[in-house]
Amino acid sequence: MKKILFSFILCGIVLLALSAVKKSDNSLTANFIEGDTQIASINQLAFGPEGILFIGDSKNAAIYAIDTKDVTPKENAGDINISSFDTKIAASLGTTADNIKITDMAVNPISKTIYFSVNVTDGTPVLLKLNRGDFENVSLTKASYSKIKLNNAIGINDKDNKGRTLRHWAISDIMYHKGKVMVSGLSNKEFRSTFRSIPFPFSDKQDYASLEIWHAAHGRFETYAPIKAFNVIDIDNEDYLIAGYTCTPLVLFPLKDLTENKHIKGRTVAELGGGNSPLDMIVFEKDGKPKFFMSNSSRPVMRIDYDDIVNFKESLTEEVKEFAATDGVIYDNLPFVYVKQMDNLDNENVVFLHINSEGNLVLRNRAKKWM
Amino acid sequence: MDVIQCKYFKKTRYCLVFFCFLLVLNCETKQGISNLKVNYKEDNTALSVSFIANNTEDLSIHLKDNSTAILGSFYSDKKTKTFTPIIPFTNGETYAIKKNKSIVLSFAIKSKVKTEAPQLLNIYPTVNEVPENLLKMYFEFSKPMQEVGSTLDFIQVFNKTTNKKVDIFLELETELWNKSHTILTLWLDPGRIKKDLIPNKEKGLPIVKGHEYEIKINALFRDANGSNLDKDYLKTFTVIEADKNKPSIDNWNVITSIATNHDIKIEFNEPLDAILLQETIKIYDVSNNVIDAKMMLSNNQKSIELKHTNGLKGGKYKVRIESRLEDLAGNNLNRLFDEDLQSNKPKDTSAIKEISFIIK
Repeated sequence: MKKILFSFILCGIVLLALSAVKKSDNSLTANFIEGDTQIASINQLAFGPEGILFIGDSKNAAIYAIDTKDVTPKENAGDINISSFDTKIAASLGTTADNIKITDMAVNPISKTIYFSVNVTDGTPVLLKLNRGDFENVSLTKASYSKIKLNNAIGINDKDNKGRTLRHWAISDIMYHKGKVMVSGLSNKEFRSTFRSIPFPFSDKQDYASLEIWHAAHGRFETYAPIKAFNVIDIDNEDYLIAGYTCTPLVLFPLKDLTENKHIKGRTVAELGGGNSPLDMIVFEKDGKPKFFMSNSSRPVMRIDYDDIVNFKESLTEEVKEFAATDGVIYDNLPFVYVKQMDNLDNENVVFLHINSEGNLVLRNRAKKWM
Repeated sequence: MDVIQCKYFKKTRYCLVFFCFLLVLNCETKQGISNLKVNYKEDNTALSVSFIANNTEDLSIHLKDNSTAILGSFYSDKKTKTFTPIIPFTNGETYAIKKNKSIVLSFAIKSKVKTEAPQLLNIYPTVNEVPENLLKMYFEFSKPMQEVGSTLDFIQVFNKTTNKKVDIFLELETELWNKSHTILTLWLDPGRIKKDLIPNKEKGLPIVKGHEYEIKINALFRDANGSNLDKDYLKTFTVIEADKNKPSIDNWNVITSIATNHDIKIEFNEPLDAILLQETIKIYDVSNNVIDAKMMLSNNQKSIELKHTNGLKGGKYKVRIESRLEDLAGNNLNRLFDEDLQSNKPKDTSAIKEISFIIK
């Protein structure tokens, strides 16, 4: 009897152990560690699956994945209209608005909670989330996380004579897509861009691609223009990177070609005008078709139809002759100006942070049907 | 009698002690909080505030006259409670401890210990004549600068020829600083530099040949500790012909002299990118060992000087230069910034260029 009981207990322990191992093997957070992330700066935020938040840290040249454990599903986020938003964030940090900078915003697609990254004067990064109108601190010193350092192109000398690292990449956008974290970056020296595709969960692998575009107007290739904001578009069951550049073409690249050290030619589908830098690019379905929305540093939010992108088969190579003309895929300017941050909030709404006509920074939702 | 007096005296003393105890108890209950102390670092960074209180229930810390509670955590050591905000209290601000939304006690934070004001050490390029297709400028500060706001709010450009304020720099949401936040890179809008692009057609070149410009960096720009620049800084420059040639090592001179203990001087015949210069050039000996040498920019970035620790011995040496080194217009050793890559000219894609020299 004792032997039978012992066998049962042993079997139970083995089964429990096996199930635990299997669970941890399959989990996206299996290789996460607990502790101080030592994040030095937060430039970009993007949510992945299971409430995992990706953080682009330019100072450490690294991408962090944080397990927010914020996974209680919610259908609707509810209405949001918070004025003097920067003053409110500053007050929750015990300071004034001139001592902070909101560097990015991202919505958890499961809980619909909005997360903000904030810099203070000395560069200390803070991660906050908005919960029923109040801010909560998301600890970066006691967190469950993993990270990957970004590979740099190797030069003769990465340090100056005082041993300081000179090369620095400012992470300009990040996005999680089908098991990969995609990262674009700007150099603080050469006028050029980097684009990386990093499998998640992180391992040692990351692909570093060189992207080439063909500017309209002067019929010249560029291998060094910087990508500022991007998203993914499915054309005929194939994923393409849709990239908004700093000076300011919109270009498509087949994602399947983004592999290590490959040189990929993009197709310029639009010229969106100058003196401007794209900020955020989001996509959602309207009337059964995806629509792309791009916020800009000095132009209103642009709306671009999926069909117009798909049906534009050529690549812009001809000179644009008329002053202030745009070319390629057409777009509509929406009456939303100075939109600093923008993201999908829930199925019915987007959320954006903008400066209104009184110069007040306002966080508000907007029904997608009116976008 | 003495015994009776003594007993009476003792009773009185006990009564007094008990009365005092009740008074203190009553006082604490009424005030709730006592013995407040702000915990500062040496430079007056206010990390936390401690006080005596029975508990922290219903207590919150606020900017004075602000209803939003400050994020942070309470720590209890018996009756001493310590509140640590997630970022230090702001120097010069006044804060309030509230219980059930009513102010119980307020406290002010000392000013930061005065340190030397930050300076703007260099604006690169340092030359007073720049090409019409100048691509970028660097601003080097003596201390890490503020990481809030937009730096372009503190940098104004004035066209002295037309008497108009102009925007020549591209505004980027993610500003381009080095890791220590002491060197800022600003691009002149590249879309406006490239002829025939829409930005170029819409707004024209950022700077125009023959015109004189003045850049003013406002003293209100602060460092990471909140100290303003020591003064306003001005740089004036004139715009000359666009540079449409790649830098070529064929035009460079490598000079060594016994008089300078064989220090090496490399002359470029034109100013090159000040920051890239410091990371793209190295000297190697005949066995391919890097020569440990301190580099200094000279003659407005038209040359560099390399001073080695122990002096160079006679022999063969090589200067290796990464091809990504750029001139002021963003032309590098392999290609023009605005190059027609469809042309049939052979393309140079080598990552490294070499110049050999001999020390006798």
